[in-house]
Amino acid sequence: MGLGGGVIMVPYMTIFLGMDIKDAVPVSMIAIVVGTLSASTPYLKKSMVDTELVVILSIFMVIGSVIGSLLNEVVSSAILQLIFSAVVLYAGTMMILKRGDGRAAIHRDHGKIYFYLAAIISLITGIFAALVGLGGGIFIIPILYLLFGISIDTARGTSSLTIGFAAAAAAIVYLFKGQLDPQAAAPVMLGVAAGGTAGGHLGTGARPVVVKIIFFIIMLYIAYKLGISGIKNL
Amino acid sequence: MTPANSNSNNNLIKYHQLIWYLCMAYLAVTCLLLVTSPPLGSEMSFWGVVFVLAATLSQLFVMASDFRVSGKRKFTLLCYVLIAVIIFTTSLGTWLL
Repeated sequence: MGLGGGVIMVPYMTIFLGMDIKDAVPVSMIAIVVGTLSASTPYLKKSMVDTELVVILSIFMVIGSVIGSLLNEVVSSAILQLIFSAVVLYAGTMMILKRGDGRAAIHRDHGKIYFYLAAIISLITGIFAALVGLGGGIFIIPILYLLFGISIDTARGTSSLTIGFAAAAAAIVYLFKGQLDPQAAAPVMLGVAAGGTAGGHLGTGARPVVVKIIFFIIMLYIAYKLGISGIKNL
Repeated sequence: MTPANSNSNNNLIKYHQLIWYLCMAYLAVTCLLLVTSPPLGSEMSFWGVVFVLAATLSQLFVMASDFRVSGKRKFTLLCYVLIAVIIFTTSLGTWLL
């Protein structure tokens, strides 16, 4: 799906395994890095990645993700869950409502405005993604699709590679801070490495409309679960 | 920007495939050791995390190489900028705490 997997991992670890979101986030981050390494290959092979956009988005997402990692110390788990819930619900609704598909990539003729827009949006995305323990795909894909008019396939492929760098930067900070438990991360990384490749192959063959429906269902479920969890923790 | 990679990413594709195989093998052994020999498994887990992070950053050198081959100098430079940004922001992030 190009989401990175945080959208599944964080709720799974917090809701089903009973981990605190602040412990689950660092593990999720390193798993996202593995996931992007695994899932990007099929997208690259099918020319579904705008590598130039990847570099631009990554630069600002990395800066944002480190800011987010620092803010993670001062923002409460309940607030994180509620923010996450609201953003996911909004993005999911917008995606399912949009008709048609977009371009294969952002072209040169769109000029500097797109560059600045991409820079600002990827910075904000990086902050939010790190705060809620996601790779940022859940935000980047709707933005590329809804705002930039890129096709859902290219948006997923581009997101798949982009989020790895931001997640890696955040994971390095967590590792240095001693918040990342490698023992907890190892089995998660193994599963994600296997699942990421399988998902990448399945994802490149899926029809856009099917992808959007799956996207919406996942987002709706996650928004509900985290919204309830956030309210309970207030 | 040009349309979604007009496939000048052959090196990147090969690199991803190689890293995936290495990752799977290393993590499979690590998980086995976490059950049979926890202290060694724990040590290997840490280096597994370091390996994954290093592989991700090395990916940027491969991307820069692909851009250079395609004659996209600006994006080659931006890859190195991204490496610098990652090093700077993570150092800053760690130092601030």
